[in-house]
Amino acid sequence: MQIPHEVIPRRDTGLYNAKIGIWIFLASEVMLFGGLFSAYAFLRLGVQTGVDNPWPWGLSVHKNFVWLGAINTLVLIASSVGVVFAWVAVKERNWKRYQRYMYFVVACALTFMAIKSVEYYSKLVKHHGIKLVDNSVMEGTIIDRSDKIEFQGEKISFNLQGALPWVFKDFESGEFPLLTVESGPDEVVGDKIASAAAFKAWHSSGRAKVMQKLVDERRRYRAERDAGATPKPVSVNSSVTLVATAPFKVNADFRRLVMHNATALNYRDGVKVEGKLVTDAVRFQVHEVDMQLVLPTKQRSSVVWDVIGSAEAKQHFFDKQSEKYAELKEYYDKRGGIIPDKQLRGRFLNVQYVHVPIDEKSGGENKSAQHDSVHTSDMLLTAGGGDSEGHVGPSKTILVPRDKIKFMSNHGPRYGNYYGIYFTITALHGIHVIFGALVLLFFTIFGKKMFLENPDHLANRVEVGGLFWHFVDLVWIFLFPLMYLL
Amino acid sequence: MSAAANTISEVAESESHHEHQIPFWKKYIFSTDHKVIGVQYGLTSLCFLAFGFFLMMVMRWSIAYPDRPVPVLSDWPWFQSWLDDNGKVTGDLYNMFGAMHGTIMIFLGVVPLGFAAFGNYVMPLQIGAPDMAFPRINMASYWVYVIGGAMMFASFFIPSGAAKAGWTNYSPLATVTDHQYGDLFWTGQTQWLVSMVLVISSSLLGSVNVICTIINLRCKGMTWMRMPVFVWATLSTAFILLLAFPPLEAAAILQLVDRMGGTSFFIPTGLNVSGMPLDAAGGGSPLLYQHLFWFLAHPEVYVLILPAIGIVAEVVACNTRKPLWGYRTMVYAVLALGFLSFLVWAHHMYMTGMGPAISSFFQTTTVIVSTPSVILVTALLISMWGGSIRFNTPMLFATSFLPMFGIGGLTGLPLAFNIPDLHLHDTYYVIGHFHYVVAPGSIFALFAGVYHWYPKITGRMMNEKLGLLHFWPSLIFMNGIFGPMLIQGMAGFHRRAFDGGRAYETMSQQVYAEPGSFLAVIAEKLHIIDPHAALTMIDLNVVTSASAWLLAVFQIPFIINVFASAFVGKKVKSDNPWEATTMEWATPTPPPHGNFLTPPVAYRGAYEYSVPGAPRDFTPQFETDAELIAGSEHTDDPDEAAVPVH
Repeated sequence: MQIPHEVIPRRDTGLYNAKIGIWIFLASEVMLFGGLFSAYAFLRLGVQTGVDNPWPWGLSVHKNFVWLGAINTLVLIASSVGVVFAWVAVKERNWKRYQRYMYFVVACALTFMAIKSVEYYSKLVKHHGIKLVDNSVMEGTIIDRSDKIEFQGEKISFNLQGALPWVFKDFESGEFPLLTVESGPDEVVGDKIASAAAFKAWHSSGRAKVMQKLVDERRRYRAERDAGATPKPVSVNSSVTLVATAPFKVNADFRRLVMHNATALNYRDGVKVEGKLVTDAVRFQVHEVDMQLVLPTKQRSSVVWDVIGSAEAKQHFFDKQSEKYAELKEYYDKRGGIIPDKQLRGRFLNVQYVHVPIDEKSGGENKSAQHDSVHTSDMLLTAGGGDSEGHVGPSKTILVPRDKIKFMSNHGPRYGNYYGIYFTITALHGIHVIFGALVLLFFTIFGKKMFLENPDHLANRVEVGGLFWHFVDLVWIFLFPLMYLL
Repeated sequence: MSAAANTISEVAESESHHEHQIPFWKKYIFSTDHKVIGVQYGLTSLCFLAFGFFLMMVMRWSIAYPDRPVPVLSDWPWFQSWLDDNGKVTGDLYNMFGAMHGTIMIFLGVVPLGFAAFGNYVMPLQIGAPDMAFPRINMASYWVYVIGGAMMFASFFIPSGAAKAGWTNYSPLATVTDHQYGDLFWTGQTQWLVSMVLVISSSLLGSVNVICTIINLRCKGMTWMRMPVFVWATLSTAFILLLAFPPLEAAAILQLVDRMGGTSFFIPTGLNVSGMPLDAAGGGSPLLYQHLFWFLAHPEVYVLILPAIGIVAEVVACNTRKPLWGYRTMVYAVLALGFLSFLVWAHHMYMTGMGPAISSFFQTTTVIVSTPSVILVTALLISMWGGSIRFNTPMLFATSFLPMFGIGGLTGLPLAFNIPDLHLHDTYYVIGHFHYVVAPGSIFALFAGVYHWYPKITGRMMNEKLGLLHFWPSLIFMNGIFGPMLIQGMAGFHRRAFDGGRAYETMSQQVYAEPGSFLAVIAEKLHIIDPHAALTMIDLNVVTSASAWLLAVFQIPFIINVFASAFVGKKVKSDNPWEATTMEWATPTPPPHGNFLTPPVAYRGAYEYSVPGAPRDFTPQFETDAELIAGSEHTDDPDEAAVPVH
C-alpha cells in the first residue's frame, strides 16, 4: 500500500505530506519555546529589587560572552544558508556539491556546540558568586570549588517515624562513627551503635516500636473518646538524638540541606546534625561587588568590606560609584530632570569592579592575613579580564567565612533565575542542534541510494530537514539578544 | 452498494491473503496500520479508565466511611502497606489516588480514547484515506504513550508512591515534596513529570499526523465542506493539542529542573520548608507555573469534549435519518471553540490575586466561549426535531449526552464570574461541574462511538439488551454521583478533604431544604443511611459513593459486551449495517490494510438522509447516482429515482 503525496505534492494544497508535517511540528516547537520565552519575560519582570537575585545587568563576567554569542549567531546563519545550497545541489542533481554543503552545515553545528561548551565551562567551573548575610553579592571565582559542605558532627537528631536518614547513607561508604543514643523513645536509650548495618537494624526495630506505640495510643484515644471521657491527646516521643564518642566527618550535599550555619546542618528529611563547620571559610577570588540588594545607607557598613578586608578596595568601589553617579547626574542635568529609576541606579551604580591589590599586607582584621603564605600561589589573572574601563590585573584570594555566607553557587542554573532560564533554554536548543545535525548527517552519508533512485524525494527530505534547521537558527536569533544583550 | 456488499467482502478476503504473510507481532503489536493502532489505543485507554475508576472508588470509601477499614482491599497484603494500621485510607493515600485519578483519567484515559482511538480508526476512513500520512510516526506515538503510561502506573510501586500534589501539580508544593526519599529521580513527583513529557510527545506526534492526514489525504471529491463533523472536531482537537501541550511541556521541564537541578523558577524568595528557609536562590514565581499549566489545561477540556461532540453528531445524524441541522454552523462553531479555548485559561486562577483587570478580561472571554458550545448542542437538538429516531444503544448514549453536557456547561457559568467563584472555588461544586462535562458528557459520547462503530471494527453487532443494561443504570448513577456534589459544593464542601469533610458534620443545614434532596430521601428509604438521624449535607457522601460503586457494577455488561460480541455477536449482513451515509461504511468489514478496495470518491455532502426523491432514506457519500439506483431494491418508480438527487 502506497501513501499518496509522499513525494509529489497534492494538486489542490500544493504540498507533500512531510512539508505539512514539518510546518505543523514547527508550530508546536514555537509554542514550546514560546512557553519558555514567556517564562523568561515573566521571571525577569517579576524580579523584586531588594529581595531577589537580580538579573546580571552590567556584570563584566557576563559581558565577555557577548562576542561568543555573536559569533555563534553568524555560525548558525551560515549553516542555514549552507543547507539551502545543499538543497539546490540536489535539485541540480549534483551529488558532490550536495555532500560538500551538507558537511559544511554539520561542521557549523559542531563549531556552534564547541563555542557553547566554552561558555558553559566558564560559567559552571570558573565563575561563582557568594551572597553574604546582608544580601551583598560578590562575584568571582571560588578556588577550592567544592559544593560539599565539610562538617564535623557531634550529634545527630532525627525522627524515627521517617525513612532512613540520608546522613547515614554517607557513612555507609565511609567510616561509621561510634554513636550512643542520648535521648529517644523510652525503650531505646543508651544503646551503642558501631556500624552501618547495626544502625539499620536498630533503626528498623526502633521504628517498629514507635509505630506500635502510636497504634496503641490511637486505640487508647479512641476507647477513651467512645467511653465519653475527654481523651488525653495522643503523644508518642519518636525523636532521637545520637551522640558520637568522637567527632565524625560529614560531607553534606547542598541539595539535601534546607539550611546550614556554623553549628548545625539541617537536612530536608528533618535530620539535624550539630557540630561545627570544618571549612570555616571559602577561598575566593573577588572580581566584583554587587550592592543592588543593599540599602544605600547600609552600603558603607556592609559585611562585604569586612570580608574583603581591604580599605583600598572599598575606596575603589565608592570612588567608582560616585564617578558613575556624577556621569549620570550630568546626563540628567543636561536632559533636564532627576535621576528617576531605582533599578537604573542599581545597575549602573551598585555593581562595581573591585580591585583587591596583591601586595596588600595591611589586611588588618581580615583572616586572609593569617593565611597569606597559602594564597600567594593562587594569584590568578581575573577570568573576566576587568570591567568596562579595561582594568585588568591580578587580584588576591580572600577567605570568606562560612557563617557570613547566605548562599553560594557557581554560575550554574542554581545561581539565579537568569542562569536557570539561560541553561534550560540553551540546553534545549543545544539538543535541537545535535538532533538536527545528526539527521542532516544521516541524509548526507546514507542519501546516495535515494539520490540515484528518486532525487526529488531526497530533495524533499533536505528541504524538510532544512526547515527544521532554519527554525533552530531562528530560536538562537531570539536567544542571542534576550540572553546576551538585553 | 449494500447489495454488492457481500461480494465485495469476499473479494476483500481473497485479496487479503498476502496480508497473512506479515508476522503476528508486526500485524497486531508493532503495526503501522491506523486501524490496529486505533484499536490498541482504545483498549489501552479503556484499561486506564478502569484503573482510574478503581482509584476513585477507594477514595469514595474514605469519603463516605472515613472511620471504617476499606473492605476487600484491606485483606490484600500488598495493599495493606498503603493503608493505616486499622485498614483505613490515609490522607497520603487519598492525595496520591486523587492526583493520579485526575492524571490517568484525563491524559491516559479520555484523551487517548476520544482523540487517538476514534481519531485514528474512524477519521482516515471518513475522509477516504488509505492510512495516516505518517504510519510509522503513528506507531511511535502509540508506543511513546504506552511507555509514558507504564511509567505513570509503575510510580505507584516505588517507595515514595505516585505523585500526591494533585493533577494540577502546583509548585512550590510539587517541587519540594518527596525530598525525604534518597534518589530524587525515583520519586512519584519526578516520575509524573517525566511520564508527562512522554505522554505530551505522543500527543504531539499524533496531532501532527492527524492534521497532515486531513489536509493532504482526503479522497477525490472530499472537499472541506463535505467532511463529517467528527473529522472537523478531530482537526480542531489536533490543533489544540499541537499548540496547547508544548507550554505544559515547558512547565514540566522547568519543574523538573527545579526539582533535580536546584533552580528556582517556581520557588519564591523566602520559601520555608519544614520550618526553615530553603537554600535556593529564590525569585521564582508559582503564578508562572499556573499560567503555563492552565494554558494547556483549559484547552484540554475541549480536547476532551470536541471528539465527543463529533461522535454524537455522527450518531445523531445516522439515527434520526435526517441531515444535521446547520452543518456549516456546526463546523464554524467547532473551529471557533478550538480558537477561543486558548483565551480563557486564567479563569482557573481568580483566587491567585492576578488583579481585577485580568479577571475581567478572562471573565468576558469565558462567557464568549460558551456561545459556540451552545450552538453545537442546539444544532444537535434541532437535528432531532421531527426525525423518526431509532433509539438503539448508541443513540441513547448520544441523546443523553445532550442534557448531561448541558448541565455540565450551564453549571460552569457561575464559575466563569470571579465573584461567585470566590465562594465556589475548590468546592465539590467544581468537581460536579467538570465531571458532568467529562463523565456523563464525554464518556457517554465515547460509549456511543464504541457501540456505533463496533460492527465496522469487528464485523459483528454488540448485544442490544446488554447495551440497555449498561445505559440506563449508568445514566441514573452518573447523576447520583455528580448531582449531590453540586449541592454539597454550594453548601461549601471543600474538595480535598479525605474524610469527606467531617468538619461539616454539624452543619445545621438540612438536605431537605435543597433542590435535589430527593436523592437523599431515596437513600433513606432504601436504608442506605440511618432514617432516624437528621439528614445533613454530609450524608450525601454516602449517596455519591454508593452511586459510584453501583456505576462500576453496571460497567460489567459493557465489558462483557465488548469482548463477547467479537466472537458471538450477530454478524452484520452488509458493510453498512446502520445505513449511514459517511465514507467509513464504504469499506469491507472489517477494513483490510489500505482500507478501500478501489480509490473512493465522495460525490456529495456527508449527511444526505431522507433526500426527497431519493430511492432510499439515505444517500451515501460514496455512491454515484447510478449505483444508488442499482443499490435500492425497494424503489417503486425507477424513473423518479433517476432524477439527480443532489
